[in-house]
Amino acid sequence: MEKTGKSRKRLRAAKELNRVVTEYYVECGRAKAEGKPVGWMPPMNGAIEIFYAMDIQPVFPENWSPICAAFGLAERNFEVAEGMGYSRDLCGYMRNIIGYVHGLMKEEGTPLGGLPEPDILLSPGGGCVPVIKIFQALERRFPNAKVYPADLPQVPTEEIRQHHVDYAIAEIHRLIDFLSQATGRKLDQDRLKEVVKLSDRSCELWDEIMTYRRRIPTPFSAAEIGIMFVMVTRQGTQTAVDFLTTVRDEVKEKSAQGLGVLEQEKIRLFWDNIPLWYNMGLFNHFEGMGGVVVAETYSSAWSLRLDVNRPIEALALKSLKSYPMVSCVSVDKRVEMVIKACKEYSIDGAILHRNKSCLPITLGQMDIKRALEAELGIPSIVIDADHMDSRNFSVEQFRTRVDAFMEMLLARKS
Amino acid sequence: MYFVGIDVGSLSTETVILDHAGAVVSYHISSTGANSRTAGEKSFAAALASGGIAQSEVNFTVATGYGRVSIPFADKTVTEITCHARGAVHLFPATQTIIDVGGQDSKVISVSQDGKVADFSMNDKCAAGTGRFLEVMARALEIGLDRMGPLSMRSTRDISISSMCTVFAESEVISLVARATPKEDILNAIHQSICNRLAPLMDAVGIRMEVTMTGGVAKNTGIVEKIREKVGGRINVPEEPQIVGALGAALIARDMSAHAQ
Ligand code: SF4
Repeated sequence: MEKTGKSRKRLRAAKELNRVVTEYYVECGRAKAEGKPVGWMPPMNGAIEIFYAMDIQPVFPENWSPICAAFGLAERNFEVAEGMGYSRDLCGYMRNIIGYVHGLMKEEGTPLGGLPEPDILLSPGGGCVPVIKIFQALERRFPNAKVYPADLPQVPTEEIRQHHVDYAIAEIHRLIDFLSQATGRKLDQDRLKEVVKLSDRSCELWDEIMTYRRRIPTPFSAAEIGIMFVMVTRQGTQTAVDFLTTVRDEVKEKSAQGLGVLEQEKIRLFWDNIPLWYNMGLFNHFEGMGGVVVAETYSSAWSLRLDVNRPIEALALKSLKSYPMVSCVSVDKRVEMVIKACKEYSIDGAILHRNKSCLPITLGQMDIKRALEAELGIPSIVIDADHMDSRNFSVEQFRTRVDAFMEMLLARKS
Repeated sequence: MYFVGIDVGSLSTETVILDHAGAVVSYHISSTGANSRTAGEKSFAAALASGGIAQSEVNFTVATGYGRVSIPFADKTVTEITCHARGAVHLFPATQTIIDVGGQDSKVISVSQDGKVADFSMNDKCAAGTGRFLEVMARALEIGLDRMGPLSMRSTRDISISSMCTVFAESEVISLVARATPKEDILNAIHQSICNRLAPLMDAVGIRMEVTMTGGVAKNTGIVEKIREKVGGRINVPEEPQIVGALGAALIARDMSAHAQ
């Protein structure tokens, strides 16, 4: 096993994904060249649909970070950020993007053409502190960009009340006004409905794909989770719907034939927290011992349906719910979601990635560990790593822990 | 017919050879050095020589520890968690909890009635609370590892070392030395800090009697005493705690060979 590495994928659609990723970044660069407004925003909220509906190019710094990790650019970016005085203890997405915009972005020859400069910055007032700080740093780096200071109440999903929704609706209207003024473009209500419909369809397809993962043996493992690229960057487009349909068809066909990732599936695993973007090959590591990672924190991240008839309200609800679904969620809700997933996907053991780069998602893992054991008798193991910074990851430590865990699970089952 | 267990750890390498009845006929302990493959080969050769055994008489070999994958002549690799549990339960059959403090890992393992691993917890990536930490402290205090335990028992004053990190703790120790704090009190504090690092692992898994301690650090009577205070009961310490992983590996080799036939 190596410290960094790509995953071995088994779906034909994986090749298709490479094309979708390249096309997206080419589109971002072309938008800039053609004078189309480019807006940078955090992921997982209802602004993406507004951007697509108004034909403004959305760019996601948080998506660019995994790409940097996969291309081996992250260390260079970290060096730049750390050289500027940003501490190594900060979120890896933050250090990566700040390092990138002050370093590599100014050079030629970056993979996928790099990111185009923003004309608009959607600067969030919530989510998590690092994501707020990322955009504040971007405001300083791009002083000519028009800034939309977004705001959203930070409430656990189970405590969302009508007044929160009303406020979020008002915020969506404010965003639309801001974008109209900044770009001179108008929002066409029919176009918005269309986009919301496509967005809802992608959520539906996402859920359907996840449902096939429940089969024993599972036809889809975490090694293929890169498909979430379209949920982050392409929600509300036909591209997302087409791509997810291809994936769904393939997974459905495999299920019908009883084909699994492994011929002999012995152990079904759950992965908690963000994957190690620089080493997706880890997900294949378990396969040698008959283990397959069937579900992860992200499996339920897009289980949100949108009411096409009330598009603005649907986007307001999406903004309130989707980012908190993985990060700023209450510990109770996190525990509940993991328990639910472990039941639905017939999980034998859970791997809890204690992520040095993301404390919001790491919070509550001891509660998850206890609840899994107490309620379902499912054991779990904590491994120390970092979703962006390979310097915080030791292959040997990882292997010792997960191999022992697999031995224990296999002995329990025999 | 002989069965071999080799434990290639980050600091030391051990080989245990069992005969067909499961009795230890020979064992060998050496430091791992830079190359785990060479360390494994040398340790194996030395254990064979001291038992007067020819390599052709070896029936099955299991490798464990960090360097387990670099032992080309092993028939099978098994992780140290499984091996330590097997070895400890063999030596003390009533064992339900194992506390193993090795070179760069510390772990607490709970075993079920049938001797299988039921749960375990390991230290985070930091070396504080492991054998490596103890080595650094011994060097800072300029005393031998084997003298740390007995000397710490003479401590009369409780002081504390609060740093989480090995490097910080080392500078804390150096400044205590500079202030002429008696070495026995510093040692006592070092042992307490190792025990404090182990406490969350114990809590995560839960302590059930009997408790057996394995790994080189179990030779330090000062630390064993601190852990005894914490768990509030007797602690089994094998005569040679360092070879328990290799012993477990050899026992598994014997099982596997029987299975294969
Ligand atoms: S949720 Fe985690 S990974 Fe994402 S920006 Fe916040 S701290 Fe970083």
